[in-house]
Order: sequence, then C-alpha cells, then structure tokens
Amino acid sequence: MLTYTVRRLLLMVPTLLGVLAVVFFTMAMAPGGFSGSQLNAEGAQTQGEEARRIQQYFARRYGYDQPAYVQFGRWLNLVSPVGFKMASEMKNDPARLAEAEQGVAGFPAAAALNERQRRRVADTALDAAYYLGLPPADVLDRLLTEPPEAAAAWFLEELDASEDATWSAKLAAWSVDDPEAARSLMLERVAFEVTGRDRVLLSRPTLKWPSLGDSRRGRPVLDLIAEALPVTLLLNVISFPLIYLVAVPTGLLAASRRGGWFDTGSGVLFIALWSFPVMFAGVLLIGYLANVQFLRWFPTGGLHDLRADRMPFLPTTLPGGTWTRGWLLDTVWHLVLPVVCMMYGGFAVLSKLTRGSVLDNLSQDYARTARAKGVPESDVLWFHVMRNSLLPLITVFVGVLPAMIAGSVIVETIFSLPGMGKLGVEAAFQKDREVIMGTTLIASLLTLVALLLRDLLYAVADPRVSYD
Amino acid sequence: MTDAAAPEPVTPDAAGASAVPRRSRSFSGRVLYTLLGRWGARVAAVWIGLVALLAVAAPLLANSHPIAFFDGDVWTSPMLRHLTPTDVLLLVVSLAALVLWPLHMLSAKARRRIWLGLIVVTALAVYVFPGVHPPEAVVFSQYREALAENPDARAVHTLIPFSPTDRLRDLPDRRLAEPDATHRLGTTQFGEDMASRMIHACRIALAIGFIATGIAVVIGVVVGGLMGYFSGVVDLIGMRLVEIFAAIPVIFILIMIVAFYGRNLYLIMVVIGLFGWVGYAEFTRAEFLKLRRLDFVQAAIALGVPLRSVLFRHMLPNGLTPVVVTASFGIAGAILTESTLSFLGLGLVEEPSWGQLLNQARDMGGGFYWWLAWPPGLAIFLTVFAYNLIGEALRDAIDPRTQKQKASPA
Amino acid sequence: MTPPNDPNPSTGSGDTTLTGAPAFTFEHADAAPHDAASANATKPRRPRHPILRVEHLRVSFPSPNGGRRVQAADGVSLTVFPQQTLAVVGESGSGKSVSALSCLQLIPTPPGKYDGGNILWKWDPGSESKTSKPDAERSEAPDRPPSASAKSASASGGPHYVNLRNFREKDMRAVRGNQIAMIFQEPMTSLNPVYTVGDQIREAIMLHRKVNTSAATDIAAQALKDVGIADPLSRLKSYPHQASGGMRQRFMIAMALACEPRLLLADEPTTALDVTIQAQILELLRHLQHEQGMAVMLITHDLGVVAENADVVAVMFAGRVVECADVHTLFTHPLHPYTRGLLASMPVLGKHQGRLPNVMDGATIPEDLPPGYTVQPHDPTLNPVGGYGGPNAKLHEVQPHHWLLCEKEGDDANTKGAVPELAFYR
Repeated sequence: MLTYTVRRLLLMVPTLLGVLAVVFFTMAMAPGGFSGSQLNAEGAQTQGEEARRIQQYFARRYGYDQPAYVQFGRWLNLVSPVGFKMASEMKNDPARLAEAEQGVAGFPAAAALNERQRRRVADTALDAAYYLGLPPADVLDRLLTEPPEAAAAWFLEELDASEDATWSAKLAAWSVDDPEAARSLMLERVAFEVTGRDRVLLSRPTLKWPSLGDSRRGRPVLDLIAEALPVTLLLNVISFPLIYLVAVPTGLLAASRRGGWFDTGSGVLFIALWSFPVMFAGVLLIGYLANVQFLRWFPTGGLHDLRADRMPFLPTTLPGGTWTRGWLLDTVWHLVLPVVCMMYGGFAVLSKLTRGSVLDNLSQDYARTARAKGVPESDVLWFHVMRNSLLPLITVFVGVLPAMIAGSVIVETIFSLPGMGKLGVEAAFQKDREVIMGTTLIASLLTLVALLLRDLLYAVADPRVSYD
Repeated sequence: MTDAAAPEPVTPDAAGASAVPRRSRSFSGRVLYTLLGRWGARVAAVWIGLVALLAVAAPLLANSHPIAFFDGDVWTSPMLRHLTPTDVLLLVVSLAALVLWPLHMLSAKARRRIWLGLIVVTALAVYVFPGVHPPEAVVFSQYREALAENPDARAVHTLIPFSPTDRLRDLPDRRLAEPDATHRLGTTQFGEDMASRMIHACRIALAIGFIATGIAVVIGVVVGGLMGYFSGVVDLIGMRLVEIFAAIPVIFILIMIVAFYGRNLYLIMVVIGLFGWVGYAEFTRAEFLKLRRLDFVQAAIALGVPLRSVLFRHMLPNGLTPVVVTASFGIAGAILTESTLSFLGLGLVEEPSWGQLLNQARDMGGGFYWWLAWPPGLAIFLTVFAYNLIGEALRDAIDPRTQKQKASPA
Repeated sequence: MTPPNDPNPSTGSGDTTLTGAPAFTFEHADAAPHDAASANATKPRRPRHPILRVEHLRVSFPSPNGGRRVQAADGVSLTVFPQQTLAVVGESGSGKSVSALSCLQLIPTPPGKYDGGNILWKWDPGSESKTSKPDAERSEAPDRPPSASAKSASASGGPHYVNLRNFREKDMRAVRGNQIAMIFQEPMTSLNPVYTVGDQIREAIMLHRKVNTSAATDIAAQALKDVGIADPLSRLKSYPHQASGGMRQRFMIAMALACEPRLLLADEPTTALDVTIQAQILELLRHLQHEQGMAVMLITHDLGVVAENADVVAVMFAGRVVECADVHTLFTHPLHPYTRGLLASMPVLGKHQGRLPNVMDGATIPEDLPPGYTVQPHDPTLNPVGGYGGPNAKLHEVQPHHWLLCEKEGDDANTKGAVPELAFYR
C-alpha cells in the first residue's frame, strides 16, 4: 500500500505539470498574451500612453516580455519547493531585510519607531523600489544627480501614481522625515534592481518555501488562496455529507420499492433535478426567497452580514434586550441558499447511482446465499448489499469533486461568495497570471489527491482490491 | 401490458387457493415505469424537434422586418431582403430534407446524396458565389415610423414583429416591460423583445450541443481506441493525458479562454469539445481492450487486414455503443456549459442566448425580473432534460444488464 | 486415471464424470449401502413418511420477448425421505433450480410468480427447540384445507406437515438455513466478497442459535474442520477471494451445514469446479450426509454424479418430472423417451461408439409399457422448450417404484397425477 501510494504520488507530478502547462500555454498563446490586459488599478480600461505604461510595468514585473517557455520555467521554479533562488525574491530575503532594518535604525527619524515599525519601514522601502517598476537607469540617474529633497519628492510623486496606496503612504511619511535615509535605501534597492533582476542567484538548486508569486494587485497569491479556499471548502464540506445523507437512503428506498410509484417517480425526478441548471435555481432562489419584491427570508449574497465581526459567536440576547443571531447563525443563514444550489444536482446523481448499484447487488448470487441462510430481507439490504453497493459510490465521491468545484464557480458568482471559484473567475477577467496559475494548481492538486484518495478508499472498502 | 393481456394456461385448480401471487402490486408499477420511460424519451424527442424547428424558422417567426411592406408606392419584402446567408442555408437544407424524406421511390442513399449535394451547392451559392448580402446598416424602427407617418403604408408582419436585436430605439419607455399583448414575454433592459430572443437563441443551443459533442467524440474515440488497441506505453501516456484533462475544471478553463481570446461562439464550441473528450476516451479504451482479445479481431489481424481497417472497420462499430449513450449526455452538458458561460457574462454580446437572458433577470439593480428568468431557465432545463431522458432511454435499451433483469432468471 | 474396464469406478469417482459411465456396483433396495453399512445398522432404514413433499408446483416467469409467461415449473411433484439423496437431473432450463429455490421461497417475485402447488415440510417437533413454531401454521387460512392441513388433521400418529407455500417471509426465515439449507453452483459469486468467511458463517449460526459471538466462532471453526479445512481459525479471518473455487465451495457447505439442517438443497454444487475438486466435494457431501443424517436434494445434469451419489433419481424436462425411479432401475431400465435419449447420448468407457446420438435422436418410445399407458412423442409446440404428452400426461406408477409421465386410459384433465414416493436407499 505504501509503495503504491508513493508511486501514485510520483505519477502525480507529470500529471500536475501537464495540467499547469496546458493552462499556462493556453494563456500564453492568446493574441497579446498576458500583457494584453490594459486594466489599471481600478480595473478600468486604459488607453494610449497610460495603457502602454501599465503594460510595460507588468511586462517588467512578471517578465511577460520573455518567451512563454522561459516564463513557465520561472513560474515552475517559483512554486517548486526545490529550485533556484531568484534575484526578485530577494525582497523577501530576511538577511537583506535585517540589513535594511539596521539602516533604518541608524536614522534619527527612526528613533521614535519601535522595532516592529522599523521592520515595516524597511520592508516597505525595499518593496517600494521593487514595485515601482520604473526604468532603473532613470531612477539611478535622478537619485544620484538630484538633491535628496527633489529626488524624494519625485519619487513620492511616482509612488502616488503607482498602485498600492498603503505602503506608498507609509514610505512617504517616513521619507519626508528623513529624505536622506530614504534616498540611501532607495539607492540600495535600485542598484539591486539593476544588477540582480531576474537572475538565478545560486548555481545549485536549494530547498525553499514554495511561493505562488504576487497578484497584480500586489498581494501574495498564497494569501488570496488562503482566504478563498476555506469558503469553497466550507461550501463543499457542508454539501457533501448532506448529499450523502439524503441521497443514499433515497436511492436505497427507490431500489427496495423497485417498480413501485416511489421508484418510478423518483427515477424521473432524479433526471429532472440533474438537468436543472444551477444558475436557474440560483436566480429563482434569490429572486423569490431573498428579494425585496417577494419574500425576504434570506440574504442575497455574501458569507457574512456587514456587522458579523461585531456579533457574539452564538445567538444571544444583548443586555439591551435586543436579540442577535450571532456569528454562527449568521453564517448558516447566509449559506442556506448556496448549499441548496450545490446539493440538489449531486443528490440526483448519487441517488440514481445508489439505486442502480443496489438493484445490481440485490440480484447477485451472494444476496441469494444470504437469503438462503435465513437472513431477513432488511439485513440483506443493509448489511450484505449496502456494503457492496457503496463501492461504486466511492468512485463517484471523487467523480463529483471536480464538478463540485465547477459548481462552486457558478454558485459563488451568483451568491457573491469570496471563494476559489470567484477568485479564479475574477483573475481570468483581469488576466492575472499568477492568480490563475495558483488557483489552477490548487484545484488540480485537490482533484488529483481526491483521485488517489478514491483508489486508497477503494482498497480499504473492498478486500479484493489490493495494491501490494 | 397487464395481467389480462398475457393469458396463462391456468387450470382451474391451479388458479385456486395458491395461485394468487404475492407482491403483485409492483407489477403495475413496473409497467408504469417502462411506459413512462418510453413516453419520456418520446416527449423529449418532440421537444428537441420543436427547438430545432424554431431554430430554423426563427427569422420567419420573429422579425422586425415585415414579410411584406407597402410604403405607398410599391410592395417589398424586407424580411427576405434581410435574411443572412446562414438563415438561407438553414431554410434550404431543412426544406430539402422535408421534401426528400417522403420520396420513397429514391433509395435512402440517393436521398442522402441529393441532400448533401444541395447543402454544398447552397453553401457555395450563399457564402461565396453570388452570395446573399443583407443590408449592413439596419434600421428596425423604419417600418414602425413609416406606418405611423404614412396612412397609406401597409405591412404584413411575422408572428412576433420584433427582431432579437431590435432595441426599440423609437420606443424608449418599452424597456423592461412586463409581458403584455405586444410583447408576449416582456422586454429586456435594452428593450429587446423577449419572445424573439428566446426563439433566435434556439440556434446557439442546438449548434453548441452537436458541434461540441461531435468534436469531443471524435477526439475521444481516436485517443481511446489507440490506447485500448496498443496499450503499453501508448496507454500509459494516454492515461496521463486523460488524467490531465480530467483534472482541469472545464468551466474554469472556458472562462479563462474567453477572457484571453475574446468572445467567440466557435471558439467556445471547440474548447468544450477539446476539454470534454476524456469520458469518451475512457469508454472507448475499455471497450477496445475487451474487443482486442476477441476472436474476430484476432482473426482480422491474422488475416493481415491493415491496422486502420482493423481499428475503424472491425473494432469501432462494436465499441461505439457506450459512446452513443454518453454523447447524448454530452450534448446536454455542452448546452449547460454554454448557458453557464453566457450567464456569467462571457457569452456573445449581441446574439441572443438563453444563459445571457437568464443573467439579465438578476443582473441589474437589486430587482428580480421574473419574466426574464422563467422562459430562458425553463428552456435550458427542458432541453437538457430532454437530452438526458433520451440518454437514459438509450442506456436502458442498450445495457445488457437491464435486459437481463427483464428476462427470467431460470 | 482409471484404466478401461475398471470394475470398481467408485475408486475413481472423478473419472466417472469424465466418461459418465454408469457402472453399477451397488446392490438393490434392501441391501445396505456398500460403505458404512455396519455403522448405520441401527438407523431406521425405511421411514414411512417423506420429509419434503412437493406437490404439483407451478412457477412462471415473464417471457424475455414479451410473449406468454414461461412456465419454469409446470406441475413438479417430488418427495424426499429422511437421509435420502434425491438427484434431480435435467438439461438447463428444465426447472430443476426453480423447483429447489421454490422450496425455500427464494424465487424473486416479481418477475417470478407462484401459480400453484404445495410444498409440504415434515414439521419436526425436535426442531421446535431450535425455533418457535411459526404462526403461519396456527393461523392457516380456513380456505386451505385440501392436502396441506388435511394431512396434519388426520393426525392418527402420522407426522405433522406444514405447507411452506403459506409461510410468511418471517416464518420462512426460521426454516431457511436452519431446517433446509442450500448451496449453489457458483462458489465464486455466492459468498459476499466484502465480509470474511467467519463473518458469514457466524451470521448463519447466530441467526438460528441463541449463542454469542465467541461460541458462534467455535461452531464455525468446527464446521470448517468438518468440511476438511486445515487451520480453520485463520481461515475464518480470510476473505472469499483469497480461496480457490473448491475451498469456497467447502466454505459454502460449512455455512449451510453449520445449523445441522435436515435437508440440503445442492444446486449443481460441482458444476463450476474442476474434475478432481468435484470428486472431493461430492465425497465430502456424502460423508457429511452420513455424519449428520440429513437428506440431500442433489440437482445436477451430470449423470456420472447421479450414478455415484443418488438413491432416487427424478428426471426433469420442460418444467415437469418425466420419470422418477431408484437409481438402479433408472439406469438399467429407463422408460421415458427423454431419459432414454439422455442415457443413449452418454459415452461408455472403453467402448468405441463413433458419433454419439444427441438426446432427441436417442429418444425412443418404449415398447414394454404396461397396457393402458402411452407416452407421446416430443411435441415442440407444447412449451417454449417443448414437452412430452398432452395436458393429460401425468405421473403414474407404471411399475412398482417406477414413476413415469404418461397418459393412462380413462384419465381426464381434471385429476392431478400422483406424487412419486420412493423410500429407497442404496
């Protein structure tokens, strides 16, 4: 079993590479490629000089100007736990950060700052020069020739024009206090930019933490996924057991009433439910159950109420006498409609499958043997047939998983839930390469792990299957 | 079929005390089940036929251009003048099929040949040679305005006197109108007639199902067949390919492709096909693995039949059965996928599609426009349901296991 | 290999199935069986009453192509006496298995349907200690006096019979596995693949005995030992797929015999096994039959197996018993055309026969029937599989202890034929 698992895990690597390559090159081959996007920080279309500048900026930042296979190689190097250290990663290098921190500490303006603030300032300074993405020669020229105040003022202007407001504000606050310190740090950073950009720093691959890069908005993709994945998992973790809890007994009931009205009716109903478009269900549910025009029983979207973070966890009556539903109930309340949307399709598939599988097994020889022993029909069904019928259900358990992830795309979009599906769709719209690749990686990894899990579960459930 | 319909040779004493069978209640249930199954498939076929009819006849049913128009001087037919090449081709081909179908003095082969020839000739005539050139600048409101201004003007309209892209620029207050006598199904946020858009959207629904599934089946059968026949290294590589394509969520890759390559119906069809072949490949592979060991295939190989012939003449017809069933479900899936894309706002912009119409029901403000939700939602549901029902009926008809259960176990 | 003309084929019983040569080494009725004669000297050899009496059983199934229902059992009558081995012989689809399954009410209904007949089971007072007597008998419907309760009503010291056809599912379960057990043709699929052998044997025991798991395990281990399985305790923990076909059939037998049933229905127990294993399994069955003193209804289409094992043979064709006699009479003096055809189509060891006749070619009408009895030739229009005789054909005892499906002068369609009773032991 262990060797089999290891072998499967190793076989997963080429498959995963294949998935990533298919997705990456599909994007890269598009007319205009990744740099085709001309959306600015607000997501609006830009034209002319601004568009050109934005494209140039992204091309430099992500290396879009290089051939697709080089880009793919660099991205793989980024996510691989064993790989080459790249110069562009140096901004996260603790050693350099410590160095910059010391530099900051040496300035009088930093005296008022505590250690954490100093660290932030150093980090910000390093980031600033990196993210600014200005032509390095240009920056060097200005910083070396102009007086510190003018250089800093120019730099701040550039920062203001650039994307992220929070750190540019911080840097601004800090550099106004001590323009000289700002300049020296900037110099160091820019020099690094000029000499060290996109070069392999070490000739030998080393162990490192895998990174998924940064999104176009500047946040690490890992952070984005760490926020989105729990939402999708929550949806699926709630839906899956519910589906099984409802579907398996229904299928069993249909099988044990074979040919009766329940069986006939449910047979057609299963196909109908399975054919019912999720978005239609979503639109109807929101339209009639969540809309102001009709019943307003449920929220139209989102995972929490706006005031949810100020709520107690459990439903309580506040001192003022007002009742509040609490964080937990609020979440459940928000999840009712999405879970219904996620559930009914899987329920139909699974019920149909259970019915077929049980019927199949009820006519097997071993069921006859059990009856010949005097086993009650209910025990034949629940004890003998059930366990055998569950085997194909295990296959479906995983077969449904990619479909559930796809289903999450629609459900999350309809109900504006900040999950993986919504993250992926938005990334696709913005042509955000790092986020698309990150979501693809996680989604396909989940699917492949689920496939492996299926085969291992199968071996546990069916004594005839052995991988040794 | 009931008990009475199947008389048995029951002797009087045997029909006595012990002849009453136990649990006979489920027999009527079983009959009901087979009937429903059969009728389900039949009703489904009728529904798909109706959708096909609407798709072909869409410009004749819903058009802002009147069939005949009299501007005070001459009678013209703006509708015919505005037919697109595709309209003309579809109409000619369908009419030809309708005419040729009952001509039994011709053999089926001859009828098929005439029909195919007609398709080629019409396609050439329409698209290439003299061509059909509808006017590029279309003013939908000209007829309504002419009728209002000129008391002599007369017009014979189609059943629904609005084109799907007619935004009623002359009637700005008709936007988002609830269903009434003029607009039987209401209007969209742009003032387009809902009924007209529904009818014209049938085309996309039909085309996407057949073309996307066709592509997927061809790729799947070829890859699966090769995997099953050669096994070994080919199989190992093939299985990795299958795994790769199975691990990519199709809807996600479609969204990405539309975002990167732009909105293009043909591209969507091709991509659904390109990413949907995995199931067919697995079925064909399993079937070919089985077939390969059978005597008739071994005999063909032993006789020195060329590989191509072994694969496609001897093995393929025997291995296609599960593919046919899956294809029916595949069509349903493709229609669903296209609707989802359109619903997410990634479909076509101008051309109507059911998913896009459904999207409009909730897209704007906070309101819910029920008349924009029900017709497209039901249309998608019924079409997908119909294909799935046909798939189920096919599976029941083909599956040897269901056959066995009907027969006696003795 | 047994050499040709071996006078004693019982030493190579495996070969008899190959050649099918019915070489008779046993004495007739009154003689004790050739083996274990002294061991069973005190046994009552001539019980007056059968333990199972199947009367005119009719079972039908829907036709696969939607026509008339197929009469799988078309008035089957059989009896089994205590400790007797009744062999039911016939081709596939002749209704052998359906008759056996009907005894345990294991025909799935629908699609199957019981159209008539009784299955009378001798109620053993001793078995009441195992299970309480079912309510069905007490609450037997008053409109069902004919043969079932009539027998028990005339209880002038005679045995008490219950009609299993009237048993409800719940009461039937107390009979299944406990009083009547069954083993099947396919040992590969007849055991549940996901449970261990021990689980499945224990289940049978604990259903019918009030014992706890460890006691049941002991009984199961003993049962495995009885069927000749070494190291039974570790075998109990194994799964069916880990054993060979012969081993699995031993598991099946152990499971069937764990509750010491009085009748074992063996539905072609050796068909799926290879020849040497077949011999072992049959030998085992014989041995256990002597040990436990149970009756066996052995369903087979292998005449070699019949010659080796049976006391009494019933030949079935097209859902009817066409001939029933003791094994010696049947092989030496067959009367029914079908039986004759069947025997004529068997190769004889050591005799060069050229091409063997097929069954229907070898079917000849017997000339030496007693006056008044006639056997009609095969008529393919009678039944989907064809049949012998018209609606008037019934089982008659044309010679002492020799029952034949034939027409008797003066018979009419309204009377049922007799039920063959042959208290014969070899």
